[in-house]
Amino acid sequence: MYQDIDEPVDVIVVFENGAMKPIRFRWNGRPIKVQRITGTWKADIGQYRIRYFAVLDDSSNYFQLAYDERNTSWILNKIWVE
Amino acid sequence: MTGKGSNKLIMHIDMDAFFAAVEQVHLPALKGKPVIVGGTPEGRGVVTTCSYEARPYGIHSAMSAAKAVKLCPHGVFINLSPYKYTHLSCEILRMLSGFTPLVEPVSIDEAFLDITDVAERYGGAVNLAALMKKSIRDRFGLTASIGVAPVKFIAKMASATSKPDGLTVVEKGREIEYLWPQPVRNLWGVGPKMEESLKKLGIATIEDLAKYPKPKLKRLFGALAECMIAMANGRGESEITPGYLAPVEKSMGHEHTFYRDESDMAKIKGRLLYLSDKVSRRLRADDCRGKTVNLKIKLPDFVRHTRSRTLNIPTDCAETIYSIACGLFEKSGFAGAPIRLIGVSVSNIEPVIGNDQLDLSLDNSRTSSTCDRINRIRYIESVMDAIRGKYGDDSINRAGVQLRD
Repeated sequence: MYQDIDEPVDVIVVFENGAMKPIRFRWNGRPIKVQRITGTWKADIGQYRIRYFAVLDDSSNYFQLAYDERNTSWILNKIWVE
Repeated sequence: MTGKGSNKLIMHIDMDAFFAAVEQVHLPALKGKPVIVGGTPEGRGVVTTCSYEARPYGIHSAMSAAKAVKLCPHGVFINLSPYKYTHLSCEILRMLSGFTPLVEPVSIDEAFLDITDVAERYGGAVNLAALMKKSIRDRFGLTASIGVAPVKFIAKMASATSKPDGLTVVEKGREIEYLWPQPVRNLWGVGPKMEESLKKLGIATIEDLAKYPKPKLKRLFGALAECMIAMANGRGESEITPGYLAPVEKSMGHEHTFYRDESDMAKIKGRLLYLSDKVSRRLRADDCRGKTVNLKIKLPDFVRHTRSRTLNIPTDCAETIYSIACGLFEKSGFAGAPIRLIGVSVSNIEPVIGNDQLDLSLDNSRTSSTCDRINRIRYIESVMDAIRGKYGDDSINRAGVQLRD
């Protein structure tokens, strides 16, 4: 099941072909390498936009990251726990 | 309606188990598992869709989650993520618009396309459909089923012929050959009750329907009979209304399943206010107003009751919708009883023509002070709309709104 986390995280991104891609982030002091982005979507909240990224690490653990354009901040939104 | 001689090539694209498939793409660990989207493992809410792995258990959309849990206890229940699905749906429609601008969205996971003028460019309808399916698979990891026919309803039936990942083409002149052997239930618009009524007349297949004496059908089903007879003979609409010209919706509504069956009037009214507010926002966003307010109540035994009231003048005002919904609830006979689900919708919708006018009210029973109050409320709601437009839907709410169970 998805578990809500909603904690701020530091994220390293690259811009590739006009798209922003998270490549690493740090959660609970642990660096996590993004192995694969499996999905992206956005939500328009009023005039602001939140960009979501469904990502997997190298052990195929799932993380949902959210970039809030309003305050240029990243949140670890959800994880998947069996 | 277009006659048998339609020279159009209409395509119907239906995304396979859309929400569940999106979840499986985003989280590959879910592939091969029975994924149930909507509802909770505790058995609250309603199944919106499920993956193909869940279907052998008898699970289908609109089934109560309680029943789905019983049928498939090891099913993986996932909450709906509307932003996720809406975004992907828009992306897919944008991609399809690259093939033809004549794309008519039917719902979040279905669309009709008029490919009459573009099919030859891609080597015919089959090649074009195959290219679209490949493009959807390569870019989104999703599968779609496609039907192609001279008219819309046959294209829709054809897309359902071989799901998932199917492609069925019904060529011009072969509509009858395709339609007639099929059970009448497969005809667009024939539900279980209609099927039952038709069976009583000895109509089991579409061919039976086409050959049944027309006057008798008309006597029994009125105007609907004309439509059924036309469809049974392969005649139907083939005009595509692109999304940007889409007609006004027939009704707008929202509903809520309580986490636990609820009998507290304050909580039920708080939720009715929230639902009324959501409906009124949608009406205003689409520049529409509606005359009929409908209330839906589902009891713990899943029995559904509806009540409605029609106004003299249409409204888009949350407070008006709320007060009518509350009145309907109080008179429903269920006040104080445990309620599983409550819903508010507005139908009889019409567009607001010309400049937006304040409510001057043609209803003589309304006093000028009532009109002043309504107009003041409508002004407040327009300010709330502006705030929500800037800061988001939940940035401002009425104090009486019940957001949590």
